[in-house]
Amino acid sequence: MIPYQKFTQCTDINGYVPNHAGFYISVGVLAVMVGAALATLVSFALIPTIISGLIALVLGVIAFCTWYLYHRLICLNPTEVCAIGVVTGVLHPTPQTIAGKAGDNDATLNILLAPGPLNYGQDISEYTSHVQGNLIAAQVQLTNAGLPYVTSSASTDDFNHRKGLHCEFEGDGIAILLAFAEAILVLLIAILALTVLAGPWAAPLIWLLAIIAAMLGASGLFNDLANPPVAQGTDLQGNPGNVAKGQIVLVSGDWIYDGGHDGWNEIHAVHNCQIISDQVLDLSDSNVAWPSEISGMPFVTDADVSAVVNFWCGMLSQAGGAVKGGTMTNPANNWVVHPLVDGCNQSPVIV
Amino acid sequence: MSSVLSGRARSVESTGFIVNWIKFILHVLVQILKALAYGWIVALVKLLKRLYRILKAFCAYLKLSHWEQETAGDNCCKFTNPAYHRPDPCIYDQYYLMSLNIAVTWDNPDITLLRGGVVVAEHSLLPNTEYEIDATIWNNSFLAPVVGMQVNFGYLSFGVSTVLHPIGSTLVNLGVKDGPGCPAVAKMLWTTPSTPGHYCIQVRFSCPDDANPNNNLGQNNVDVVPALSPANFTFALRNQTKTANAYTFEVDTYAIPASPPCSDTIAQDQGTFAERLKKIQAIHNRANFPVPEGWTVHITPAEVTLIPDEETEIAVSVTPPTGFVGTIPFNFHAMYGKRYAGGVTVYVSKT
Repeated sequence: MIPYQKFTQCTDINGYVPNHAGFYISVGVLAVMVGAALATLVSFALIPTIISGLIALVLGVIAFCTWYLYHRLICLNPTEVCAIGVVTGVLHPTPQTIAGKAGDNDATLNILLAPGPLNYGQDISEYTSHVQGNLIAAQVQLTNAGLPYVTSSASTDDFNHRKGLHCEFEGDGIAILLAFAEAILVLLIAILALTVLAGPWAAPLIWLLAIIAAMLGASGLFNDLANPPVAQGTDLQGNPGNVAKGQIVLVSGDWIYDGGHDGWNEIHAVHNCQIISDQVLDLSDSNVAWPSEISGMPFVTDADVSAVVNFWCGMLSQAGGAVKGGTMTNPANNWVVHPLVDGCNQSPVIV
Repeated sequence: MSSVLSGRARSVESTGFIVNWIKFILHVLVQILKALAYGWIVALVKLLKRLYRILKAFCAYLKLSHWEQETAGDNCCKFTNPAYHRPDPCIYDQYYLMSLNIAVTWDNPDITLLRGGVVVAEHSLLPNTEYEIDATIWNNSFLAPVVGMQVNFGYLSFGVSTVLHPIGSTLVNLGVKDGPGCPAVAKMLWTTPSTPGHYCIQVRFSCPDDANPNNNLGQNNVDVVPALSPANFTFALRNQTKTANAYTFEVDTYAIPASPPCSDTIAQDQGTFAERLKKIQAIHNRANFPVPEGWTVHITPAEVTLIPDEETEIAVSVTPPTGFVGTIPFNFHAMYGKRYAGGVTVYVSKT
């Protein structure tokens, strides 16, 4: 059991590379230059030139993955943040979504933050003016640096990301794609070297390497597409639960600005998501309201919501500390039915 | 002689292994020949069909707006990302343990009664007197705490499936497994009824998105009877189902064994829940705790049919062997068909 998956690394503003045409053009030019240089070295012979082109292509993939993982997200807070909201949409990774996001198999939730509006039809100030509103509000350090936030002039769908909080549960799609690309690159270089430098005796070896490279390439291309990853839930008896629209959840994780879109804040990666109320809100009902109590505490005013968020956040922090302290590997905690039924006695430690 | 035989057996075994290995190699060679002859075309067609399906779905997906893409997965499937955590508050729940075919005692180790801060025996409660009930609640989740969980207390007449009288409710916060705040102790003050008698205590709780809601009901049904010759006592049996049932009884002398040192259990505590359950069942097997030799137990009536809500008195007579000194627990479980209705534990004692 792993607490959460994380493959991206957010950066500060100085390490950020924006997602616009310039980025793709520069990566493309770099790849073409490498391919052309290699082709020149091998005097434009047909096979070596094709291999050079493939190397250039793989370099482009590596460049894209590196950007996607390490230069796309800007850190907004050095430590994890917590939020309570109601789920308005869930994205389960499917072949279509994975292909549509260039191999990214993240699962996502969109939540409306408490105690704000329970629909997306209000003015943006209604969503940012309450106690949790800063999580979705434009951040001064970014706007001062000239980074954009999506505005009401954009599509309604995109603008909704400014009204609710987008939360991403990371999958390993891009990290695996990067690993495939790196392995293929090595093989392609070896093939190119053998093709140019070695005699006819190397032909079987070249073919073998080419087959391996092709298999790796195919695996990388189809990675996760046909069978999206299914991670284990925390239920030890194999009964996964479900997060669905209308449920009230607590989410904690890295608070970032996602430059891969038109500009909004997210929780990315989610470290913890937990359903904290039995009540499921019917968001299609115009009279729907937040419950007046959550977890035995009042949940009406900004101060109430702040108290509930802070209390839950404290409990999660203790849980994280316990896991870091080794609770998951301590044999005394390895019971699954009841500590007195299948637990054990830890020998006292003499210091 | 035996070593010669075992040597021959090994020789036969190794011959069989070699034959199997040769068969396997031939199979692989045939498979490769088939693949080279025509298998690759079949595989290619399959791959192309798969690619076509993915591309078709991808094109349909691309036609959706970004917002629609993020909500396309709503209610389609279970959400099982590892960052999604579910709590599992639990108590020594006899009904759950019996459903797993694990022997139980009705002397619940997680429920204690105190008066003036001192633990008291349940069989010697004074009428119209205030006691404190302490219920120890564990969390089987390393990652998901519980905040503001309602714990309900009640009492019943000494017996099986008798009528529950609510005592009250309280809220507890439960930390993660082996973290701060776990186990949590829920406390409830209880003034005993003015009618002298023997009572059982029941503790029940629930929380949002409980990974296992079946281990949330603990019951303490205990009496202590002096082993005069014989020890006589009675308990009530009530039919709380909606159909008439024929009840029979099972008796054992199970008591929770002392937990072994962790060093002895590390190896056996690996594996799936089902694999571990088999080992747990072997240790806590009712068949290993029969009525000891020399003891006789008479239950009157040995079988009884009750209509819904009908209650009857069951008389028990336990005769110890001559010269017995000490205390032995007797667990009486009422069953209808193959289902357990409940039970009581009686300590037969002689000094």
